[in-house]
Amino acid sequence: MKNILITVQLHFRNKLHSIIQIILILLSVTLMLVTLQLTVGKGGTISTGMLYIGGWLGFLGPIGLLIRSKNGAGKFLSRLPMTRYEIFLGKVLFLIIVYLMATALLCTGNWIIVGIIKLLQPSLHFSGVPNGQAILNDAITFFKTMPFFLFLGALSLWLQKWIDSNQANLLVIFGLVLILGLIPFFTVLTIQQHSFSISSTDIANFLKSYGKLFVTTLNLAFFFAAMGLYRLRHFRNF
Amino acid sequence: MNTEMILEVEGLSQAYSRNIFRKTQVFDDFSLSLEPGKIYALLGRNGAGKTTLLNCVQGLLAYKPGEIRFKGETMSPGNTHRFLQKITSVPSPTEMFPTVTANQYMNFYRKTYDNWDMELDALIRKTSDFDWAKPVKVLSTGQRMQVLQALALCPEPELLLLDEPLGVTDPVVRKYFYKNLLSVVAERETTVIIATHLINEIANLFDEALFLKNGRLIMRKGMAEMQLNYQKFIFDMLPDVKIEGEIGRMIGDAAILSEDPEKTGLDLQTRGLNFKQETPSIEDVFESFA
Repeated sequence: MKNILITVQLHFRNKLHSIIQIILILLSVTLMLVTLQLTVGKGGTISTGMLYIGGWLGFLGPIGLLIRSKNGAGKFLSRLPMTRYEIFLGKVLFLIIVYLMATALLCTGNWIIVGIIKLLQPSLHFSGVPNGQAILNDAITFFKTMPFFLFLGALSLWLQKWIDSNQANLLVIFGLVLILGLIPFFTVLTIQQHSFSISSTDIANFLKSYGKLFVTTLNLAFFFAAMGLYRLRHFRNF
Repeated sequence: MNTEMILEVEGLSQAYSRNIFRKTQVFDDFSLSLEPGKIYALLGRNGAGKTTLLNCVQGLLAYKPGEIRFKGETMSPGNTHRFLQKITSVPSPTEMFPTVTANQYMNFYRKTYDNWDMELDALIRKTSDFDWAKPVKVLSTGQRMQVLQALALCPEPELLLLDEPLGVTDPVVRKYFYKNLLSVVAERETTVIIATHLINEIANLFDEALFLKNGRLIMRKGMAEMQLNYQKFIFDMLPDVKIEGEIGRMIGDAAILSEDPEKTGLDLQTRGLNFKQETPSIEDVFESFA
């Protein structure tokens, strides 16, 4: 546990500036949107354009944990007397804290912006202002999305015993070829008259029938692509 | 006397991927064993395999087949972290987290390692000339190297891996580094592998030089042994006949390194070449073997 916390601390010290910068940019965008609506004299309800990050962080976060550059800090951590699982769990804990921190700051920033404008113009109505239910829903999305990709991450850590970076790259290619091959195959299956012209209705039919399978396969391909980008050979004995 | 080897590398094979279908073989059936308490200079030209070897020992690179043993115990991906309590290294400054301060680095390391030499920690800080409260990104590469040197020396390692630890540091820093290194080796019988191109500077430091060429250990000798075994023949003018391989190894264009000075001297006289004979420097030996 001690090593996991040290890893989290190190990541925080390293990334704190970037996280705060991104949050400030997002809040500036909110402020700009609100100001723009007020300037053009939009009546009725004003949208804050609040961005909920649970889905994004839940999907991109675990992939981001695995992607790094050749001389990345992951290599530095690999030299320390820590297990690779401690390093990985440190990153996961860091991701969760980043989510909680970013959500808290985004919501607070949003409330402050809305609060100040409401003080000046109490008659205005706002939509998209974060409330308890929205925050809870977003948190549920984050914690529901993340485990699947984390599971794949843990699986890849385990698989790396047998798969080297070359084979991981081949997996990426295989995944992409499979998807490119499956799209026309599944599409033809769903065409009523088996003609060779594919209409938007055919694509809609395809997505209706095989949408979930397609998206899951696409996610897996993205994930293996991330694994390929992740330089396995630079991370302790993988 | 402890006759147990601190590090044994046996049948090591390692290859880098050039692309999906092609690999570059760095080591093929490479073996090496090192005794405790000695300083080894790992020498060789760029691409000889020095960094790869050190990375394999730290478990940063996969190798198959092959076995690396630390004090008789086989290292594997699952147990490398245990050995890393006793094996430290000086990584490249580019690997550091830029916004973490030097002090924070020292604190993180102190918490991670079981042992920490507080006296050496204080000494290194005292002899440095920068503010350790500053983040790494504002430190120069040489100053970063000093932080990394402290991080490698303070955990009281039994095996210290130094890959170009002095490249951009100034002479004063280098002097303190050598001094600290020698005191660590003397006090704790630490084994040191130092891969560097500043070979003349470490000539009086190492016990044995390990010459690597194309992933093979081509020579392993101490400095005294080298000076005893080899002689350098410097020609007055460039020889117009090819003599390399027959009577010795060329050092540049106008000198030759010989393992059999008597025979070489006679041979050169027979060929009508004028020369003077002297004891070679480590750089001469390096150049001839490179």
